[in-house]
Amino acid sequence: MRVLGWFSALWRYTKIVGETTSGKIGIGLTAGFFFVAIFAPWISPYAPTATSGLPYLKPSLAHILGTDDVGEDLFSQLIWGTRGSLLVGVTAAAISVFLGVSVGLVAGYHGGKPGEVLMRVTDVVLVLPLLPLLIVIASIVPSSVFVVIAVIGILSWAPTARVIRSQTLSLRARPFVDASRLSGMNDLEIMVKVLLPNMLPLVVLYGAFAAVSAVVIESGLDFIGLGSISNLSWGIMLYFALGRDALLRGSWWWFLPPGLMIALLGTGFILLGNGMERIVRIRS
Amino acid sequence: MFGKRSFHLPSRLKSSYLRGRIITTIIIFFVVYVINFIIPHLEPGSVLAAVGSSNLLPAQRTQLLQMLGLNQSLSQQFLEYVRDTFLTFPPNFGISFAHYPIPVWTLVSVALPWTLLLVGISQAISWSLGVLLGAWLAWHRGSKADSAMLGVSNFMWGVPSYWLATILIFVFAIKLKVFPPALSTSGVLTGFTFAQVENILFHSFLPIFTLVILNLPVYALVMRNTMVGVLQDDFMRAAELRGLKSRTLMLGHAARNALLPSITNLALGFGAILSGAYLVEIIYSYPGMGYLIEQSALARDYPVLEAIFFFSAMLVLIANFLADIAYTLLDPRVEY
Amino acid sequence: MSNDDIVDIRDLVAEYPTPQGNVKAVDHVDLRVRRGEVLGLVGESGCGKTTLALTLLGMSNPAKITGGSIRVDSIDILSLRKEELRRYRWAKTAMIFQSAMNALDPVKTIESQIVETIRQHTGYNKDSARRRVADLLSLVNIDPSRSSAYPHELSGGMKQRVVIAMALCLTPDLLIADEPTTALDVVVQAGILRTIKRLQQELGLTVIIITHDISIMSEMSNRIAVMYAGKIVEIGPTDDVLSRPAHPYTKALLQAIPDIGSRQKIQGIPGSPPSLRSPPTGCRFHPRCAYAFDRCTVESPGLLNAGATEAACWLVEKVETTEHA
Repeated sequence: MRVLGWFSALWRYTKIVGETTSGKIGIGLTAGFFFVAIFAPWISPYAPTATSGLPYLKPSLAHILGTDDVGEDLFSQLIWGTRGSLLVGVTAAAISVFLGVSVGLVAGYHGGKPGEVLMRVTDVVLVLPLLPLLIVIASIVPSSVFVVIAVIGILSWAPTARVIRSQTLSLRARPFVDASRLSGMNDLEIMVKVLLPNMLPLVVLYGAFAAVSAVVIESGLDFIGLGSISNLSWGIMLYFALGRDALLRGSWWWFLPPGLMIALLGTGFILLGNGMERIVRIRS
Repeated sequence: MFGKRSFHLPSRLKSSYLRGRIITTIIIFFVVYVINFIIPHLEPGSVLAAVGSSNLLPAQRTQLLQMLGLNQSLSQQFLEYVRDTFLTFPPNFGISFAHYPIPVWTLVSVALPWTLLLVGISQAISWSLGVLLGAWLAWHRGSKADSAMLGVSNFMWGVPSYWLATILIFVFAIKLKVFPPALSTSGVLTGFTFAQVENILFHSFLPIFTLVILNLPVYALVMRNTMVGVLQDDFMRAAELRGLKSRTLMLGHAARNALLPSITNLALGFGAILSGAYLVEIIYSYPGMGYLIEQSALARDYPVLEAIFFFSAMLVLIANFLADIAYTLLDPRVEY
Repeated sequence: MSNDDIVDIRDLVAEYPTPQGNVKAVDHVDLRVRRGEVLGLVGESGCGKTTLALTLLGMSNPAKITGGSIRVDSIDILSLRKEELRRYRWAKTAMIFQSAMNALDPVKTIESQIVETIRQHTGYNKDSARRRVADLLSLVNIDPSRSSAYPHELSGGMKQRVVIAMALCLTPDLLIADEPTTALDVVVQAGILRTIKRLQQELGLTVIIITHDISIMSEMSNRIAVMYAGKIVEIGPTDDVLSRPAHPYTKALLQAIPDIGSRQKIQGIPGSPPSLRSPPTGCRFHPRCAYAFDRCTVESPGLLNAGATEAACWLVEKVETTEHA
């Protein structure tokens, strides 16, 4: 039931976000990408790994973005790639936000020694450069999307934790928290039922940031050649594009769209997140 | 912007805030140092696999283990690690697998300066111009320029650095043939003459340009947003009522106050900036740490990879620490 | 405008935009302030007193001046161009703010901020400006050696004195004190008020004190003007307003003050200040007024002569007519 409450709150927030032009664009882009990802099999003209034409074809009516070096349709790859990239972005962001919020709530609410320790841990994680570490791990462990998602999620929760913690600290002193405690709620309940809903816009904002950076980092990993080829994503497309001489051949229709999609997806998330931040600002 | 009284040198550096940050930095360094030691031991199987030990005879395996020092106890290995990396000069981070018998340190110490050059110049330009642009945009918020820049900044957030590099190479190096597409110099670097410096800068132009385009909008955006908040503060209205000139209000007061969060943001984002720089290096075959990391990753050259991770973390740590110092110098409210 | 008046405000209207329409923070106000007097401007939060004060400095943020005229020492404020307005500000009219946190830049020393103000208006060089700052600080009883302090290093009372010193740095003729003591505790309040009074006498300033606390006026002001919902509802000599108020709102305000000596009951004012977006018809105060009658709901009274004071209340005429009947 509580979850339903969260959904209706999110719906309300979405409507507020949609009041501004940038908010509309954000919602439009994000929704658009999700739509494409979900309905990929029906939208895509060909199967992405099917040889549907001659290699290195230029864009035409039959192949909107031309074909790659083995004759697979690039436009279909672009559409199917949405799934791969979105999967990484959303899942990694979910893990990152979950960890960040948990750490932040506990550190902010309990404070004291455990809070200090948690914040020290957060400081360490904050400093670790993600890509080099990912490269090290990815070269040790056989390439798998899940490992990549997990590592990104486990290493990028620090900024969220910091912000949630300072929010929790400032909310903790408010009277309604005391009221909840007096009404018999235990600590966990207060954290989840009382404090968290108040911070929902902030959570979405940082979730958006986490999603964008997850997609970009994962594509970076793919591009180096350490990504999982079985999970078709825009990063993998770029890997092949550059590896199969698209640049030298001047086939900009191959390497331009995937990066553009990553950027647009990022823009969509960011604008959505900005809209949420507006809610936080209006509220305070 | 910076009056005589805005900096207070040595006494501020003794502040307890800074001391706290120094301690934190040392702790983090230590943790990263230990992590760096642990990583190779997490999958000893794969380390051996990289050397193709599955095909080795037992005697050869033992010999290899001995050479890699893996047959000693963990604490012995750690002591050796500390001795090698901390107490010897040049520090011994092992020997590269792919470029055997060149020591890891040699490879890294050659690559590091190139990366520092690239990141140093590009961030200096991006940050200073970005901050000024952000201040101007905040002052003229709501204008067309402001809306346009907001759009650009939000877009740039999600742009992959290597993709942007590719496009720029395509446009400038291949189509227009204005700049060279790769490497940091043409020919061999023989001396430190002016011609050589010119050569380097000419080759570095595109990589630096790529990073500036990528990072400047983000710096501008953060500064703009912070400053918009500062402009709403009461003391800004009081300053306006005092009949101060617009320039003074915008730079001397608003921007000066908004600068502080911008510095922290630079520090927090440095890890991402560094990663972006690495990817750009790869595209341009620019011989820095990024280039090295790609080569080593493909060759599964673990010692080099770990060293690069270590030094990357060090760079981020140092950047954060410098930002802390700057913050202490600029914000008089930081506790003594 | 007579030579004696330093401030001449006529029919002033200042509005600010809200999503639901324009709100008149200052609604057709006339006010004249004599040179050298101390005028107390009293009213509840949101009655428009601060907005009125800001118009004297030509400030159109957040409320824009949409009607009427403002003259300060014969200068038509509304016709000043940007640079002229900038030079007018602080040199002729200065302001003391409610809290120093609102007035001082936290990252600069107090000296640098006053020096900056002086140098952006006059040709003083750094050294002579610094010396002036030292004089100003002494004037407000602050040790000049503290000039290199930052705002957060000073106590609340000291900060407020700095704000006063800052306000006087260009020797203005008109000083507006906007709730100068509200943010301070009672003991410090008295000191600040004494300082303002002393400076007014020493320097021959005209002072407008804005406050919601009518009780501080008895010591400080020559005249009191009472504001309600964007209009001045009563104005007159301090003693008369405090002892023989003609307007029901003024009476209610006085009855709401706790007086340790007397055994009079404290009366709050029922109801709450009206929404300025859709103010009541006729007299703004009538919904909360114990004496309201039919005319009050229809017509809004201007300031009428009530003997010692002027009050915007139909009761004044009613009394007169009964008296003359």
